[in-house]
Amino acid sequence: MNKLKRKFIKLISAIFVAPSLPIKLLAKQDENKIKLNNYIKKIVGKRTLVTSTQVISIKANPIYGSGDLVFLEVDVNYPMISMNRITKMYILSSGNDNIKIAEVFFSLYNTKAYFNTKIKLSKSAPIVVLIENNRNKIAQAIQYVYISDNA
Amino acid sequence: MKNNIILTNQNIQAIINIKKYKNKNDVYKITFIINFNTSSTNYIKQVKFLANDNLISKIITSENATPTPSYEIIASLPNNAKITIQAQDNHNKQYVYKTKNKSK
Repeated sequence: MNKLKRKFIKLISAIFVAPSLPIKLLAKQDENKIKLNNYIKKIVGKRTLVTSTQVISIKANPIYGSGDLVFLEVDVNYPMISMNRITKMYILSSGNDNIKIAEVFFSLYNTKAYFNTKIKLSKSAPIVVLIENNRNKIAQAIQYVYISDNA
Repeated sequence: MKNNIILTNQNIQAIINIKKYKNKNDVYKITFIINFNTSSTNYIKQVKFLANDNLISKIITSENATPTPSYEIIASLPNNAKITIQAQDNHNKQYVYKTKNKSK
């Protein structure tokens, strides 16, 4: 009877306890996704956000053997003249607990809105780049980065 | 044109690498690396890159987001520009580095 009881408890555990682990993980990921969306909303405000993958080019590749470091290069194809130029760039990702990875301010001396760095992502996630021009217009591009467990 | 400048200040080191960008006049691809011992309690939160005391770019980063403070930008620099890097850590400690001689 005890044997049967133990089998029953094991079965119940397998059904209810085991799936609760990934659920916790998913909940954390969802929490970060919500944080990311809220952050984007906060930056955009009442402006219209346009997706512009032709103007914003994102290269994001995990660095082999580094664990969770990702090489990130953002190149914006924009004139950068005094009357019409990119002034700010936001790099955001739900793959890091700090949604705002970096914020870059460009001056008149920046002849190209270009930024390159190495960022830390703890899991596969999209990288969202928002750019703002001097006329207060905002655009975004998204690149998904896949972090392998064997990295 | 390529030049590496290594600046040291007590326990920190910065490397600046300036390369001509696509043969354009006075336009350079600038890489700057701050050798800072990043940890969960210490990290660089703001970096300013200046040429002849004019702000070129400012970068603000979050904790645990860019463990290696290495950045690359493209900018127009005047001849023999004096480069300054102003970094600030999360304890608001300031680090300032200036080139003495011509930088490119």
